[in-house]
Amino acid sequence: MKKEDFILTKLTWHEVSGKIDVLPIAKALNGNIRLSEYGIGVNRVYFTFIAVKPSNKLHENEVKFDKKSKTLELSLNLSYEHVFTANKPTILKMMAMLFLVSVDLWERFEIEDFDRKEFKKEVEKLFAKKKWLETARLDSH
Amino acid sequence: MLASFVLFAAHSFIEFDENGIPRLAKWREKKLVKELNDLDGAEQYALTAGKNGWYPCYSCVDTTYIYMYLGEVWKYGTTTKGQKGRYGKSLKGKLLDYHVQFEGTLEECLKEEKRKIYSYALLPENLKRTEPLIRPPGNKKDF
Repeated sequence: MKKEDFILTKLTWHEVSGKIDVLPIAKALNGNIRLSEYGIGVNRVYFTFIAVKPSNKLHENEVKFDKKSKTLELSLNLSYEHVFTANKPTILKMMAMLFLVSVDLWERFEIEDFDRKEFKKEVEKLFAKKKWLETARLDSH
Repeated sequence: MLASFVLFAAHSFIEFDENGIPRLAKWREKKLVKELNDLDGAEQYALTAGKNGWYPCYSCVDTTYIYMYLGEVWKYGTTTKGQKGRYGKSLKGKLLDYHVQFEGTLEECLKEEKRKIYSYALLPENLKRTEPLIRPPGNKKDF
């Protein structure tokens, strides 16, 4: 089985679980982008979309890089209030945007031999093609 | 007397107030409050398959892996520390989604978890199997 470069999961309060679908983004990334094309500095990206009630303090944003395995691990919160009121297509756009902007957070690790800027450009192109970056308007149900 | 003072000084978990009455050291008291708060702030969660595929099975009778479909329950659990505190890196690569199903005290969450583990046997996703499981694939025990 082909190794997937991007492992996307979700961590959600049950009331919004059904509205958050990571598969379209995971499929788009794994089907179109190979990390190895941007250098040998990153082998894999684990990304968790978090959407829990604001009162829940157990799950906070985290960005880590394991130098040995060259894997990035990101767990980032979507705005719960927006997720709660938005429809699925809008939430998908929020997720795509969150993934895209999170690439800037990699900078802190000063990863050697990985063209992060070029990678971000390609992800942006891909997401734009999918129309996931159109308008930040949060359509409700 | 001197000996006991030296003993207390060496064990900084005890302090004395201005009247010489022993009390818990600040750091111990802080730790106690944090741990008591943790017990009040628990959550019961379900881990579900993030994609169709093979997953480890601890409750299967004669196999160690089971084919699961997207969204099917792999495990129920309870934590006071969240996903990272509970699993650290061990979930990496298993492609499991984490659903917070109930929030409450540790005791309430453990009760909820137990109810869910036992009721799992009756879920349609389990009943459709040739050999239904007694509990979710990821739960080694009933608790």
